[in-house]
Amino acid sequence: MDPARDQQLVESIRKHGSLAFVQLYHRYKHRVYAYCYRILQHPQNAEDAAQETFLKIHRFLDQLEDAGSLQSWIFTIARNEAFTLLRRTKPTEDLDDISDDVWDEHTPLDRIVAQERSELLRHCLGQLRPAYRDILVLREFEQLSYTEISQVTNLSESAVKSALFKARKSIAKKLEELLKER
Amino acid sequence: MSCENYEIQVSAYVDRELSDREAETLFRHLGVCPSCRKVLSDALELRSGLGEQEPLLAPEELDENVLRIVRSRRDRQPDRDAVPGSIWKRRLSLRVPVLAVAASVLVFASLVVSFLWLESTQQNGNAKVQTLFLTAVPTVEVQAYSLEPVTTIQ
Repeated sequence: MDPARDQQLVESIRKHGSLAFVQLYHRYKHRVYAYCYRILQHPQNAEDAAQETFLKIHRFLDQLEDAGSLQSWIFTIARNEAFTLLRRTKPTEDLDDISDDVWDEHTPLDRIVAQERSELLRHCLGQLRPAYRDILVLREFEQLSYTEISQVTNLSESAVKSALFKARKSIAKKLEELLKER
Repeated sequence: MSCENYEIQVSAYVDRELSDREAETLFRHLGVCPSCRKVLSDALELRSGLGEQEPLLAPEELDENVLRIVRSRRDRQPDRDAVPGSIWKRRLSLRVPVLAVAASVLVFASLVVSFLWLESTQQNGNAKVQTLFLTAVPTVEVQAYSLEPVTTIQ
């Protein structure tokens, strides 16, 4: 998450090609895979989306105009790949919608077997609608700024701010309810 | 500002997206509002909880698949080992000035020869020196000088 190092890396790829791309790949592979996994909630789909992401990065890196925004660009591609796969499983749903309820109503909340708080939290995260989950993951796990999240998701910074607030408040409330049921 | 707006500010504060002035206003409100203080503590607890999640690591198969395909692309197009398109763009951009220079040389050379030819025909009505030009871009090659009139130009 160091823009200066990312810039050096992009320059290196432009001069030296595939060898330097391998460096970029190793730097971002876990983050991209983890992001795709949290969106898709499925390891094989996450691997497929991550693979397509890196192949597109390799193919289109010369189209990146601002080397300093490498991180946002990578996650924009990853998001597109993840959401493309997600649309195959939910073809009628508007996955980008953040105007509605934060919870995914098509996935009923099962009785939680695991008692650990972290398991409950992971479960709640998985129950968010994809658009909310996406923004929360980009902020909490990838530590993108509001500006970067706005670039990746094509939402205004104000919408990002509002969505994060709604997602956090909803998870906190849901966690409290679930912990009371234990 | 209503509590709902302050709660949104709390979320932005946790993300360090508030200016100093906004943070000051928020903290003044937090001093008198237990409900908003709870929102702050919930948000911080959520962050802490998410931070404790097991890290997700990319499987080895991802390495194999991505690097294999990248290598095969490189092997198929060795000249494009750099970012695709960039080497070709450099070669293409190099050709353009060379063509421009070659065209300028041609034009200049044609003008000079035409001038010399006109001069020589004026000075010496019987002898005509014609220079045959056979050109192939970007080179200009003089094939022959002929003292006889040339009726066909190839």
